[in-house]
Amino acid sequence: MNKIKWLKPLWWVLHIVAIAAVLWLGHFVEF
Amino acid sequence: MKNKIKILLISGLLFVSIGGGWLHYKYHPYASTGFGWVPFIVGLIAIFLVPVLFYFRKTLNLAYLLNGFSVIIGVITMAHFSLESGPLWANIVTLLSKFVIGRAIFCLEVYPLDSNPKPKGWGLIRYPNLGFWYVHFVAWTAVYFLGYHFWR
Repeated sequence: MNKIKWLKPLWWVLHIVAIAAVLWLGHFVEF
Repeated sequence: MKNKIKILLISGLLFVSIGGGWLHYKYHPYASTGFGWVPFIVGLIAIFLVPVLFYFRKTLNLAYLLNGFSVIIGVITMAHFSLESGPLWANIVTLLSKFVIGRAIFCLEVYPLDSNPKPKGWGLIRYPNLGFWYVHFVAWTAVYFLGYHFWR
């Protein structure tokens, strides 16, 4: 994981975006 | 032969994705219900993007991740739908085949055919092992539940 410099920031960005997206998905659905 | 198997598996993935996207489109076209956009967009990615990404070694990891997470999102939302509205358990089981095919393509490309890698400790739940997917499935379910239950 530490071999590629941009992998760690990407990891954080992906996690923050994914958590926000899934949280929003739960909020958004109307089943 | 390896390349042939890869193409066969990618075709299998493509057929399941087309079938799944088709079913969704028939059940709820994206325009009639708001949430219909979710399977529509995920379906477009699964049909047009993921098979292509699986074909090239450089984009294999991205394909593996997109495929796995599209299955997770489908399992969670359809399980939720099954509990609230109407049972879709059979569709969920069908969707799981996509995960397995994606994993098969990944393993075919990454590991030698006669190898038997056995991750230990934290390696069990780290990419690209199966535990990584279990952990993310549980985490996505928890976050989805928080959004559904508390963000009203």
